Amino acid sequence: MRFFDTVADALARLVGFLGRTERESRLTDEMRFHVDMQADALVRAGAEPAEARRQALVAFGGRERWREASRDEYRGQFFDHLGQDVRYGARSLLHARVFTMASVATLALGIGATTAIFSVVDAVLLRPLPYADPNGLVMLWEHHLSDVGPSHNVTGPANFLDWRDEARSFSAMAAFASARVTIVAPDGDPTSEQARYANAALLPMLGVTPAVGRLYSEADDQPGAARVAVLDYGLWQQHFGGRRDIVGRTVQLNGNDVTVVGVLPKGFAFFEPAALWLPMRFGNEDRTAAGRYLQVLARLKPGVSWQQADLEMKAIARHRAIDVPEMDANWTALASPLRDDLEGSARTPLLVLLGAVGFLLLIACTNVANLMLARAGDRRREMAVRVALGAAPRRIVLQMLTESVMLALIGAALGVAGAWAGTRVLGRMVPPKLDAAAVSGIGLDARVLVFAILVALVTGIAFGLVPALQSAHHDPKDAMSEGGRSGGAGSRRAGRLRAALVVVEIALAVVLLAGAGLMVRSLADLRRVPLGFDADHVLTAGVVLHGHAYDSTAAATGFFARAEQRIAALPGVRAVGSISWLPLSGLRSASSFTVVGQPVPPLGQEPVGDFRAITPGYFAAMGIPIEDGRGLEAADRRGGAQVAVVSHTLAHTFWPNGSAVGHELKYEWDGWYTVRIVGVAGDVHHDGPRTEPYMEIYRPLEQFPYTGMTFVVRSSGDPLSLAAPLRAALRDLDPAQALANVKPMTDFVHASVGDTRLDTVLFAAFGVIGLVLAMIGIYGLGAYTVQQRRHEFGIRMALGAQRGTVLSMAIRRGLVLAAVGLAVGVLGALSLTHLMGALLFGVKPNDPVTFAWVAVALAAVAAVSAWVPARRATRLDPVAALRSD
Amino acid sequence: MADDARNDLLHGTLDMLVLKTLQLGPMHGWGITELLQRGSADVLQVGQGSLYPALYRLERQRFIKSSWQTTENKRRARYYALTARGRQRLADERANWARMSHAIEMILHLSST
Repeated sequence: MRFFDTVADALARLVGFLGRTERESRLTDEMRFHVDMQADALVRAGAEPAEARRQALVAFGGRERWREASRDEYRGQFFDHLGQDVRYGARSLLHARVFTMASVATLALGIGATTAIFSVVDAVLLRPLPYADPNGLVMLWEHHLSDVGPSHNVTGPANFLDWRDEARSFSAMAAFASARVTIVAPDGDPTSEQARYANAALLPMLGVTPAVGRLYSEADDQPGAARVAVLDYGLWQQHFGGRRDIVGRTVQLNGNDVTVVGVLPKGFAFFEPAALWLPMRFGNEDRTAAGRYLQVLARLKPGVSWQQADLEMKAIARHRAIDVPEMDANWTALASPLRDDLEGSARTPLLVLLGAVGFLLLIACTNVANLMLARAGDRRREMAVRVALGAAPRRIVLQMLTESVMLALIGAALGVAGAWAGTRVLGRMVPPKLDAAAVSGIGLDARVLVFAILVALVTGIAFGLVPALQSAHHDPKDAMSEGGRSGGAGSRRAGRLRAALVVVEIALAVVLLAGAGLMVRSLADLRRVPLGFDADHVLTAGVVLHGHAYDSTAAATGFFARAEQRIAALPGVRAVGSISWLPLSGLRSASSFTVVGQPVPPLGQEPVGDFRAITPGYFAAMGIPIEDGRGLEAADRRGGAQVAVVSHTLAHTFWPNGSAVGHELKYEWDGWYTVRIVGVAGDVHHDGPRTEPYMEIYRPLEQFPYTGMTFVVRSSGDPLSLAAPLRAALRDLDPAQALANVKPMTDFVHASVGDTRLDTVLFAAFGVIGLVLAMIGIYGLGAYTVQQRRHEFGIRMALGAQRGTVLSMAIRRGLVLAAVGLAVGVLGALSLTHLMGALLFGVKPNDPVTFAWVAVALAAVAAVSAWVPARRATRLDPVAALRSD
Repeated sequence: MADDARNDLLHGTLDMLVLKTLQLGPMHGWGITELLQRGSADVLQVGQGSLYPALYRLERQRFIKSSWQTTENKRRARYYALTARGRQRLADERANWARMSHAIEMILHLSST
């Protein structure tokens, strides 16, 4: 009932506020009428009109006072009191500066972090993909049954064409692949751009409507059709000035003229960004072509689930394995929702982060609740005095409510600012693949913001209101005679509630800290993994040759040899080499092989090796040691003896006790090859520290030709200072070729632990924030206890108690609570950290070292937080403590 | 808060008296003052500082309602009238008052035996 009255009052206050002028004029009119009537009566009784009026006014009494009293009754007093309450609240919040700052900071952190993280999770995981009917889209993959690596393997044209003919689950299917191309922009400079080759069916499947012109059609997809391209919006703006007459114009691409037929809409993205889209053409020869390099997107027929499609793909793959064993034995096929592939590895970290941030919000709310209760305890006397002086209970409750809401609103305002900033930072940190699909989507999420603010408000109000109601309806005599001392049932109850809140807070902080500790250790372990090369002082630059001048492999390899000569001559260059697929670039080309002279495994179970073409200078430039035999040399020429250098892992797999040098490997590439091993190189983590080194087969570029290579240049100083001379040297050699990705090798190393670093930074931040909040909680409780018991402590000290005794009495409670919280937290963490197993490296989710550190850190922090206020108890002047009540 | 010292009205009785005067018919504030004063043979003098707040309070509690009307000598005045709720309230307060005054009377008539 009281509650409803308060609500009704609040509404009335609002209405009264809106009707303020109406009210004032009514008061004036009524007063005038009353005075007039009184004056009339006096005149009738024989008085002079002027004198009558004066007497009437006097009789009416103090007008302002009358107005004041009337206003109070008129539709309630809420709004007039509101201004007063806000002023009073502001004064009292300013007065309790530590309390205010702690509460505001807590709320701001809680709201800001929760909203920022959730906005990103929502954009990446929860929102529908920005494509037409995204739930009907699936990716089709292959998987080699013996491969322990990623289960989503690209496919080849032969299998793709077979699937497209055979599969009944799909209404459309399209293959696509990426390649780096050189285009010549209108300003004449060649630039290296990422292109995507895709079947005509792909873009319509995604529901794309071009911004300008048209998409390419099935007719453009036929072998021998005229060369056409669709430009990405960004490329169109950047190199073609966004001119609409671009359609029909030709662009030079890898030395050929290509006609632009259309431009994609702004913001469109699909997997990695591509600057232009080109038709993917398959001829009859592709039905038997070897090699896997295609990704496949398909649309499910209505009513077909992706699981059904997956079963059909597996069945087709079984038939293929029997029909064309040389290509498909031991391979299976699968379908997976597009969303899974776009989210990729980001899903688990984001969900774990979401959980962590939820914990943070909980801690924040617990802390605010705790602070509110502590403050209410401090103010029992103030409230009691106000009640005793005649303040209406409801008035006191409204006053405290106003204060809570002010606090929550200030915290919320700061939280919004923090969330806004956090979203921008996080948006930039998500993996580019996700960023591409959700690029337009990441922004501050209004719903979450409202939710977080509401949670904060409700916490503030609820925990501000409970003690307010308590103190307002208490007999003021109790509270006052109780003084600041412990005693009354109300304060004992509040004390227990606060103790429970502190335990919860510590437990939550322990869970966050354990997560942070595990991430920090993972990152440290990841960084400690020797990658197998020396990235310092190394500059890398990719080039993909184009033009008819390099149609012959001799011409292409000749270009790289001449380029390396020129680069080696640059001042500051110590070594130079090149490689087809740079370590940590995410690219590899694998094939099965057999060892000559060893038993041949059944078809499809042969070992799989990683094949990379290198130039003789590569090992020296990259700092990869030769463990046995020799490296590759300029003498390993085309037409000479076919040679290879293999990696440590390969050598030790097949020749655990002897030397691999002199043995031979056999594999099929564009034909069958038998190559002699001339040396063994150290292992390299080509796909980053989380992936074990592959079995590597390095072949000389002369014998294993590629037209796309990456230069690896070791300098004596800052590698980036070589970028300009390097460009100049290559322009000099052939101005039509463009360099791509000119950057230090350390960038790749840095990026290879990028995700883990981001997760670690976030977790560490959450852990530290949680710890600080828990610290505030323990400190607050300790300070409160000392305040409550200062009378008792005063007496004890007056009676001769030792400082140490008093100190231990004051500190004990905080330490007991910390111990309980720690125990609960460790149990909670043990049952939760396994959820983050996928994020960890080198440590188990229940890593005892981490848990020990967390316990030590928390115990130390708890001890300090409890000790600081306890020390105050020992410094009490007994006389002052006794007199203060 | 209100200055009730002069008229010695028991706290809470003013509301009942106002309701009672309005039971006789709609009336403006000055009329109510006059009626209370005359009706009590000048014993009860209700200060404006008490009357108007009481009127606004009763109106907010929906025991009375008010509207602007014109008096016989063409003045614009706020007239107050009893609502059904107010009528009920008056009945309750009267019963309460009767019980209280009876009780007080009984005490005052106590004599030692």
